[in-house]
Amino acid sequence: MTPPPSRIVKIVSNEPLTDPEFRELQIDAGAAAADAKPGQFVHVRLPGTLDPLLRRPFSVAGAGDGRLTIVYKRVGALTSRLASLRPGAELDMFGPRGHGYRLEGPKAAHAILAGGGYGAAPLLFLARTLRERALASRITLLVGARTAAQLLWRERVEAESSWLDAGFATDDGSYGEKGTVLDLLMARLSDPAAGVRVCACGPSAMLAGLARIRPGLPAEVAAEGHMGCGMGVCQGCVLPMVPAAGGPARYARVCHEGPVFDVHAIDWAAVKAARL
Amino acid sequence: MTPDLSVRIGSLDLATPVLVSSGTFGYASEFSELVDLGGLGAIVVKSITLAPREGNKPPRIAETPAGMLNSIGLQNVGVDAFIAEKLPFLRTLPVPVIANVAGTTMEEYEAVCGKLAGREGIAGVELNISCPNVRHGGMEFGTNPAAAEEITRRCRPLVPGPLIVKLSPNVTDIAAIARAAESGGADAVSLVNTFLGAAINVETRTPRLSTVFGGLSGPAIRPLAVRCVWQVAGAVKIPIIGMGGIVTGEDAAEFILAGATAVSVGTASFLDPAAALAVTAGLRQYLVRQNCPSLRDLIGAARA
Repeated sequence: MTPPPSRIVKIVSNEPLTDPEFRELQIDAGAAAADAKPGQFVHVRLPGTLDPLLRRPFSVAGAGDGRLTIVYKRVGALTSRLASLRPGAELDMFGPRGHGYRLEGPKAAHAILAGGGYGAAPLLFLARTLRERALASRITLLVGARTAAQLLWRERVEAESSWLDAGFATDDGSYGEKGTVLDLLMARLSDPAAGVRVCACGPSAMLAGLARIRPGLPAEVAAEGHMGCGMGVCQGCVLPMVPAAGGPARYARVCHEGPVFDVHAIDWAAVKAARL
Repeated sequence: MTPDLSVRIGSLDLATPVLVSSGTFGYASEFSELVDLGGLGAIVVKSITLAPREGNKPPRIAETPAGMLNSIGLQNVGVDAFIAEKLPFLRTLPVPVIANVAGTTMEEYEAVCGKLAGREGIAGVELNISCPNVRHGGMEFGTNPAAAEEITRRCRPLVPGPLIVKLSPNVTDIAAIARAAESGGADAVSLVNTFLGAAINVETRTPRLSTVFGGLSGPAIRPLAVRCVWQVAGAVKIPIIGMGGIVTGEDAAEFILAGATAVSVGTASFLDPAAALAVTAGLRQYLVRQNCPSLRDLIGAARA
């Protein structure tokens, strides 16, 4: 028997983070939690309403014991409604879907995870997964934000210092280095960066900046898109890819080929032109 | 009582009257692990053009109240890759598959129909003369009765099975276009394709779609679509496949009562991949509740 494509799940907790515009939501997701991989997304809608109509993708920020965690910011109709929901309230969840960060292949000498803003959401989950699967000899997690309050899960990251090297940057210098997460990353890249693997998530300007840091630096980035279906059908969430020389424009679906892409495969000039 | 949901479109017998709409169901294989495809009335696959198309620049989607705007731009693999890569799976399905054909010239429509003609696994063709998102994307054929009649007449001999013409609602008189398709030899008309719309991000002061205009679909357009079906049902004798914002069995019943013989589920498949099956179940329950043994008794019943 095929599992139902979407399921009604219950909210376990829905708490504000240090900046209350950002919230952490735990979902009782049953077996779906065991399947979730860092970099994948769950596609969520509010049951019983046709407005908002479409599902919204949220990056999986944690999974275990039958629970899934997501982090969200109140930006629109759906996330504002989400912020008002209490434990026990129901959501309609599809997923986890999509291709996450690479979880096989050669062990990296040094995995550097870099997150900007609440884009850092999947990276602690990724760091733990890389450690469990022995996919990196050394793991660094770098988090950047505008202010100290917006640094995602700072205390939780610092509590893992026995195995996780951490770095923080804020635009206003209120915690860690004054600057961006890319500044932190550049300072930690050995020269040449042999055996380094970068995994990033954040605003597209940050990810575009990562593509320019060093040619050939292996980096995977989790991208965002305006999704319709979330299952590769509607072709709505496409991202421009670097075309073949002289070839036509090329697009990849964030929900299906992504959300995690090789940073050098994305046509960042086209992304910027499209204001994605 | 188990109500009879079967209907006939041209020479095609459908076990249930609920189809899935072109562009919202891919090439069906994407749904095979999520949905019992055998429970669908028929599958209308994504538009097929002669050459592959990369589609429009993003952003291609914007949500609006109870609806969505899209401007995909007929991204598809092209007819040759469709036949080589997509058709083998579609051929294994126990339900009729209808190929949706699009183009920019009449010759392109003819060429695609010609390549599909007689292929095992293709039960019929739906001519998309109503895509609003491509310059010369066929909508000019769907907004001019003479052109609609001519393209139908030219494709007619190239389509062995039922020929369905998909109509644009972006016209002054949709009944006139439907009559033209009927005169050209169509076995059925399907309506509506999306309504042309636009949305603007007021913070950035920029359009929310790369192409500015896109096609509006979803529950927001349902009353507009029911009106179109009503108008067309009064103008033609061929069957109508009604669509536009159908989410429930009652939504589907509205279209049937307005004069549609069958219905099609589009945007709702994005909310729930199994939406068309939920609509079918809802329609069955509706017939039981109405003490109606056959769906066919309800076609156009609101017009009496």
